[in-house]
Amino acid sequence: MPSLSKVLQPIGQTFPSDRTAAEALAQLTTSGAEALLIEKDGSIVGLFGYREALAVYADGSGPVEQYMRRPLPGRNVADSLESGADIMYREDTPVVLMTEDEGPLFRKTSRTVGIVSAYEVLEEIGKTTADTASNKVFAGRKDLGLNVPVSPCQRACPIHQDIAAYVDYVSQGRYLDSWLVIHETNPFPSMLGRLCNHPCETDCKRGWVQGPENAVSIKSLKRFATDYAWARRVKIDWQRAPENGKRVAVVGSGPAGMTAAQDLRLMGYGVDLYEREAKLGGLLSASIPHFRFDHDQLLWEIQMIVDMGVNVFLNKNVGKDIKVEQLLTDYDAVFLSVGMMTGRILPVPGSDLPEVISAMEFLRVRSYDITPDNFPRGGDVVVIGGGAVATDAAQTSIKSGARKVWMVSIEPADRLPAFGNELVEAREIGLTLHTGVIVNAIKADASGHVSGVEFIRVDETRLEFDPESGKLLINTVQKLPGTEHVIPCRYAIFASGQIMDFAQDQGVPLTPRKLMEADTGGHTKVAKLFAGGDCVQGPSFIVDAVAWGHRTARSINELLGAAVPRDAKPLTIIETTDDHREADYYLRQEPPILPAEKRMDMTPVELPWNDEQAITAALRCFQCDTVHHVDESTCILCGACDDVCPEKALDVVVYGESRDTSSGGFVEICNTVLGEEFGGKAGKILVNYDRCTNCRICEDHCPVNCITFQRVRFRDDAMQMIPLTPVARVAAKAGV
Amino acid sequence: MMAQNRVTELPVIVDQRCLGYVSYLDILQRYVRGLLAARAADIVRTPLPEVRPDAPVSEAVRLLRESGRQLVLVTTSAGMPVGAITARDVSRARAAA
Repeated sequence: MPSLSKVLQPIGQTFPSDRTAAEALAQLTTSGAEALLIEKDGSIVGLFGYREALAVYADGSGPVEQYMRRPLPGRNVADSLESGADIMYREDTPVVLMTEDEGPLFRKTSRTVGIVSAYEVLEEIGKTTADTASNKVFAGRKDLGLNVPVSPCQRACPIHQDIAAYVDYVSQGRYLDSWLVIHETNPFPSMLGRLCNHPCETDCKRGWVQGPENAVSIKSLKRFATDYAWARRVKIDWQRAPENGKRVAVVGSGPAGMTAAQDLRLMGYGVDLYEREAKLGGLLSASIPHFRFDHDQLLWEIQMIVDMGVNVFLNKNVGKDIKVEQLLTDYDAVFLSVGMMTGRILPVPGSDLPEVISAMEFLRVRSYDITPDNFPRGGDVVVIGGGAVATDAAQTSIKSGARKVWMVSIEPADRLPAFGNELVEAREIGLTLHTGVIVNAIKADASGHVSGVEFIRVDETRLEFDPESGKLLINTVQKLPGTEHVIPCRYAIFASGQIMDFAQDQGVPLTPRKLMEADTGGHTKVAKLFAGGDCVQGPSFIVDAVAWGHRTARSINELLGAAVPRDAKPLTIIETTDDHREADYYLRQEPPILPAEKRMDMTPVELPWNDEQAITAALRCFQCDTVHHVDESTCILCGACDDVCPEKALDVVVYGESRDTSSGGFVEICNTVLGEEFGGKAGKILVNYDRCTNCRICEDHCPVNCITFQRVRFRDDAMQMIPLTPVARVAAKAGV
Repeated sequence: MMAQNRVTELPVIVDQRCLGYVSYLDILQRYVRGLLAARAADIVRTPLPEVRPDAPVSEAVRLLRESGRQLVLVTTSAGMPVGAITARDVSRARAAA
């Protein structure tokens, strides 16, 4: 336990008590200190900080003694840090005076030696406190006035999907209900059901303990519900707000732009969507190869948004064909979500040869089912890079007819940024990895065509990685001279990062990294101009782009809307239920994929689940959106619930009695004072929702039946499911 | 974050909405009780006083004094936070005036 001496600070400047408060304020602001110690007759008598200075705002002509805080609490420097934190909390003060004993044992005196401020104590606490399992449940939806918790998965999801609800609906066989819940916040479940980086699963309580108890397969359940709705040929008919006469231009039809377009149409804005490609979808349709997901489903989801009345302008390159300035004149607001669609080619010798291409361009051309010029069917290909895009480019090369494909990276094989399962899939169909090397040059033959790529080994023992992101720190790369070697090939693909391809003369504020400058709400420094998605935060995940779309649409509505209620979304409570099902014990299963020999073309590789597999996976959910309800008039604080809880998640506290309170819970579910017949006991029940698994054994064993469990389900009133009309179905098939 | 930014209260923002604020007092209290495994949302206090961007500084001072808070949130009419004013900010403005 550290002592307060560790965070001791010198007294610094003092201020005489007879001078005016206005002078004290002037000294406080110029000194940069947190507070001034007020001195009178050689001793410290009080403290004048910013809180005290508020009183000076109207009139500061009186002596500082009138405004200062006194007495100043003190502690001995030998006391523990906890002791200092305790006195700060009790006295509500950010500064404590430090004293030190002096003199012999029976004639001890103390003298002031310094101060300790809350900032130093907080910093020390931050250093010594490990962030262990956190109580993430039971903290949200209080805004609705309901005792409804946000489950850990929902909190972790960037678009806060009601995951517990849609997983529960799958377990009940209500697949279309599940799909509707998904669509409340997620316009692209077909895509995100396959390719999401699923932070929800990272935080799933089922997976908090490593081992066979892995997280619920939330992503795959989303895909299952979406597949079901797709097979039933249904669509969502949104109930939109009346047209408000205002128009917004959305530039870029990727996940951020399409999401914003949908939200803005729901709010009654006219939306014109500009896309430079010949098809909608941005990165989704142009950069993610067809073997990853069913593009027909993406078109179906895009069509649902377009059917809301979005005006689409394809092949319009804003910045070149139309100036941003013009859009700002023509529209009430402009949202730029142009993404980072251009691949970067490293400027090594030979990188301008005709058979050198960026992975983004390669994938874009292939997305139109066209083979890029010069692509060597039957020849060898080298893909330079170790990330997800490199893996996609490598697999696409194999499926496009390359004889042998190399994926070459600086990172060692166990630190590649590519997703593990994608790498395994790629190696199963013939990908060859070559790691620990950096590209040196592209070699050409006598006729000026690529004949190979020269690499040089790097010192793998010196490579360092960012502890948070896991990315390679490029300044730790050291080449090993004399290790140059050439891999013969006829085509080289650079998957070495992406850049934003947007004209820089459009007056859009840019950051030093050449990204658009905007806050998390999408506001730029230019009036009426918003930006969001990859073009602001750099390459990121699809679900993050969808979140950008939602946030920016809300910011635009904030700018243009008259009076926006805080909770604008109409929700109807459709179930308040105490139904319970066991979170049955099954092992987590991943969706099956096609065998390697059938993965040599662009057919989607991930196979669907059947009903049994999906329901089995859904039954594993703990339903963390369910909470205890205790009837306080009935509870006798007997402690039976505490005794039987297998997870030790409950503490029954009776005032005046010593009971075990080891759960660490602090969510109070009962606070009761009993009558005379029970000896006038008073107490409370605390739950640690980190540990509670919703098993309901406490409910079963309660002798007075005072414990029930409850969850609340909502329905978005703006959504209605209707069949796809024949016209819509044709349009969905044919594209936009 | 409090130590780095020299503030004693931090607003808790979720999705451009302010849930409330975390006070240094709650962190100190939980530290003393050994309950620091909480998330901000679990110790959030509500509500935080709010002013509009076009309000006079004296209004922020009044709110700070009446609420006893170290922080007043600057929000738009729909409750979207755009910034915050601390007692230090208004004191500096007063001293500079």
